Amino acid sequence: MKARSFLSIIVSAVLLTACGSQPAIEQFNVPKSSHSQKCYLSQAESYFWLEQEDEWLTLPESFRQQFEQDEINWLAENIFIVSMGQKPSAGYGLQLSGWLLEQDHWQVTRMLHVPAAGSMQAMMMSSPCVMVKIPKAIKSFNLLGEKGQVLGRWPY
Amino acid sequence: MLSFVLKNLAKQFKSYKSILGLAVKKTKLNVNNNQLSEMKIIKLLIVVLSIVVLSACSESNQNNDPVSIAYIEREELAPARWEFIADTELSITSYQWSFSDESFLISGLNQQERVSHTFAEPGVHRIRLSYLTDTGSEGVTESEVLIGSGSISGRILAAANNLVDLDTRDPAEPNQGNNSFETAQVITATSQLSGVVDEQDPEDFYQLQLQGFQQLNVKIADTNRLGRYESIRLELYHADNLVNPVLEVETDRLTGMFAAPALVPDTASYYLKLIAVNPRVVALPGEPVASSHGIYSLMLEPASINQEAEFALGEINILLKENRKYKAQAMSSKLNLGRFKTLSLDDAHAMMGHANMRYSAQLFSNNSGNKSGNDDQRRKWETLQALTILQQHEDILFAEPNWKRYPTAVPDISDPFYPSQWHYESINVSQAWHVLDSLGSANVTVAVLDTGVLIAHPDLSANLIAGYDYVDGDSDANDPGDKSISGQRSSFHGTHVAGTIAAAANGVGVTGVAPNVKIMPVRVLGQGGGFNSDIIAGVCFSAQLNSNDGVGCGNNNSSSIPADVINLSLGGPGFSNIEQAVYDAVIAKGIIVIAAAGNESTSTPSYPAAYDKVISVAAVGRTLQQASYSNFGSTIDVAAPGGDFSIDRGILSSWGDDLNGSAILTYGSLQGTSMAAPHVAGVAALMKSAKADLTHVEFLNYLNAGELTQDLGSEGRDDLFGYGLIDAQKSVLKVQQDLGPQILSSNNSLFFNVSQSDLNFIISAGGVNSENELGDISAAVFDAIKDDGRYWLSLNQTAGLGSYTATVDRSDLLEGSYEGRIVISSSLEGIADLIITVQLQVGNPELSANAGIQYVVINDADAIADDEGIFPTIAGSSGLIASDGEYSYQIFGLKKGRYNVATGSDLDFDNIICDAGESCGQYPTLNQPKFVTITEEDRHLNVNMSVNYLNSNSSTLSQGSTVHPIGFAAYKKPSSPLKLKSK
Repeated sequence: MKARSFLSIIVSAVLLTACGSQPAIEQFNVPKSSHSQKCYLSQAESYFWLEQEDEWLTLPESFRQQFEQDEINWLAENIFIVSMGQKPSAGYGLQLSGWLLEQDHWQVTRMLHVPAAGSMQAMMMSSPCVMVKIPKAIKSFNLLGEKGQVLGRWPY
Repeated sequence: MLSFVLKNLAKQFKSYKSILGLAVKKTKLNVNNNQLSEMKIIKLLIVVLSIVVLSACSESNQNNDPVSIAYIEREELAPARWEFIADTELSITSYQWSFSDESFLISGLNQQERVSHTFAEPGVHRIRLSYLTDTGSEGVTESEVLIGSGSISGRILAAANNLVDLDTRDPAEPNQGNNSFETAQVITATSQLSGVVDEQDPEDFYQLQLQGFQQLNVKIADTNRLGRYESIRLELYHADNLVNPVLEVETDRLTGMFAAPALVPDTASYYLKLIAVNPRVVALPGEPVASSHGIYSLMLEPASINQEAEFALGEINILLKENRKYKAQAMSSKLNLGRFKTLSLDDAHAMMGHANMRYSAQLFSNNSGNKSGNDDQRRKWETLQALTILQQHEDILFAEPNWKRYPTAVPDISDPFYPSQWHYESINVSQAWHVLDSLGSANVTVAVLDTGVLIAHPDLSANLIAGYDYVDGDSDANDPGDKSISGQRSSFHGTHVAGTIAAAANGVGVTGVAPNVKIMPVRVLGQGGGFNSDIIAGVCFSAQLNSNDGVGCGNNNSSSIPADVINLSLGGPGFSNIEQAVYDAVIAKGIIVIAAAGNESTSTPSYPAAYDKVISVAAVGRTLQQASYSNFGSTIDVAAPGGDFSIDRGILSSWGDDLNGSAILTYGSLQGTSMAAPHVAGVAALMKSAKADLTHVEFLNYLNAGELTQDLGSEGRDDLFGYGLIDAQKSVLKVQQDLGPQILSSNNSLFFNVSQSDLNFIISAGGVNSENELGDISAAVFDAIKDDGRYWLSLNQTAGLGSYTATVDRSDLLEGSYEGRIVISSSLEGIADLIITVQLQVGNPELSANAGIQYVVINDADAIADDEGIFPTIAGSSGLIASDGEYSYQIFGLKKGRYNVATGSDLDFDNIICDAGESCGQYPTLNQPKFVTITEEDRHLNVNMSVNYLNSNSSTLSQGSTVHPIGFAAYKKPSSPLKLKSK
């Protein structure tokens, strides 16, 4: 009797699961951002979406060396880079915040940090950038500006 | 009847105001101004009457209508706003205006007596007025206006070394073919060339004269298709042997580049053959049919290794990156000290093979002095070629020849990164040490007002004295970092600046300009920068200002000794009277104050560099040209190396890395005028080492007299370099107290580019009370000899002190670079000869620059990109052909507005200019484009531009995968819908 009850519970559970089944939802965590102040990928603000190692290898070696510790699994991950462009002093930076991970549709806001007007700054050239790994399972990735404007959508 | 005619005549006048516009106004003015006689008026009336009658015959509709259209306001250039009014004596009760550019659409808005309308497009437009009078009669009248347009025209200058393959895919190119040795295209030894090889055109041949150890490089330009493209092979042939290539190199399929530049074995005449390997049309699933090949870039660059210096043949020193292991193929370790190794080149052929290179047993030309049997020459080439390969290896930080060193009075610098500090050689630092016979004095202190210093850094700790932290308000000037975003790195800017001034010569890391002087670290910049108040406090502290100095800062330590030199690698906008007063006080105290000019590439003053008397330092890159970012203008006093990543590796110095927590004490390269200023500060410290009582005013006077610098740019002072490049040797010589008699020169080297024929230099006396103490001075030329025994270098005088002119004669010289010497000697024993090295570049006078067929495009600076990032392009030119290195263009039909103007070639004929490998330019410069504006007043603009290839080693623009400068990636040519893609 107990065995029959147990079986019926199992069968019910299986049926319920099957009838009301949803596609498996993969839980994602906000990806880790890697920063550099010496990217020199572009003169002005630019965005890079890389899907293959070939594309990565076309970036300057001086850039790639800075992210050597970020081992990239090209079978599972794409790379997204926001380059702020060349800046005339220290004090510039950017970060990705406000991540919205809606299943396989992601959105993030690009925040720019600039020196306060009139402040004194170290007169070194800088070129801030931030790099994140985006799982290949993600179907769409939107980059927004601070005011909510869409700066880009990937994959193209 | 007569009154009716006159009345009608007057009406016609008014009516024609709208049609004839200004011409009628002028006629009326003339009539009034000249006070014509009654007779003349009658004659005029008859003439005008005739016109009216003629007009009535030809345009009866208009002239019979009692209502005409006049304008009240108008603009002549589209978009042009006009205001119209009905001109009539009738009483109109209802108006309906309509316009041809709106297809005479009836609108409820246009029912007033007056109406304004903006004609968006240039051309002829018609205005129609339908009206109803108080008597109930209806009528329609029309008029016509002509709306004009503006234009943009100008010249485009191709970069001096640009050349283009004469058979690209662009059909506008005058295809001359270069598909055999017989039809090889003649190019110069210093060219940068773009071309196309593919299944339609599998081979390109070039003929040229090359110098020994020149670097050859080929790169597949379109990085988006790497992996889908096949390789391109370069074959180098001696002109006297077109059967067997001397050297063969193939691009790597994954990177699209050579593993390393190929070195030319010997100075000789050569043919270059570029071959598409396995050319075909490729059809991949889901992709459009495409060629297996595309645009390539061929770069011919000067030798990078000093040919005269001696090194051990077959041996290469390398420094591995941290945590990396490397086992070089065909090499073994002669010396293994962990990361530092001396490698022995055992099998050059195997080494080259791994880099897709093959070379012939017949390496040298039969006509050359270097026969293949010359083992040392071959070994030298093999060593340097292997070196270039190792320099590109991902595990290797530095690879260098095993230079031979000689005993000197000054200790030999053994710091491993010192050879990579190219910036010291530029300003003759080692020569200054020898003149000084030391590396500076420990009694000299340079205050570094900055982000603080990593006080435990092994290259700095021994040279630090007590400082202060005005950000945190304590005496600990250690740099805690300035990153504001988690995951970022701090700048450790002060550590870098301090290292350039005084990193110790201790066998570790790098060396400073004045390795024995002391650094006073003063922290005035923190997270987010700093404030004037902190910087003023730091200056007061460094200079130990007190009430006796006129600025009683009150924060000095009476037991401290003021700094001798203050370095300010910082800046910001905004003049401050208080700061100026403080710097005046510091300078009055004799302390030398040096500041970075700023990195905004502008003449707008940056402070403190722009304060009166403060020495403002601009930056140059390795080629001694103005760094792309450097500020300029009337406040610039002097230039120094600041690095320019687009052409060099930046300034290498001590640094920190706090990415993973606490700072790791390391080394790194930065660029900026921040890096230039400490070179000058270091030189000032060396001068203070020689002359302790040297004051700021004396330093400035010497500088203004050109006695501390090598002149750059325009002769004398100019706004880019001030008085020129700081020269450590000249500077120390100027103040050396016990200097023996010496011959001095304004230039230690002379460089004649392809277009220069004369250069001046000045010979003067040093270390003597009277010029006679130097004896008789003679000048002679050495080594600068042509094949026929004549000299290619001559001097306008051969004896005496004073101004000399060196002149070069390029006749009968083949293309390439030549080196000679000028030796200035004294008749007296014990006075050293002065040697001036002379470099001469000889180009091909038959060739002028050619950046390929140019397409100028105009795009709306205010347009908004569509969802795909596509901007509409307004207009463009047809294909422009170079003439003497220049192009000229004219684009008409432009409306009022703000425009960006760009130009570029389209070698692959994909209707997009400025692709990687294609030439590209924008007004005024590619790096800092600005819009131009067409207005009513300024209708025809002259816009000149320069154009250059995007994919040179000196450009970062092509190194990103698909990214180009904003607003600049892709233009459609005029033959297609004009579009501009943002990125």
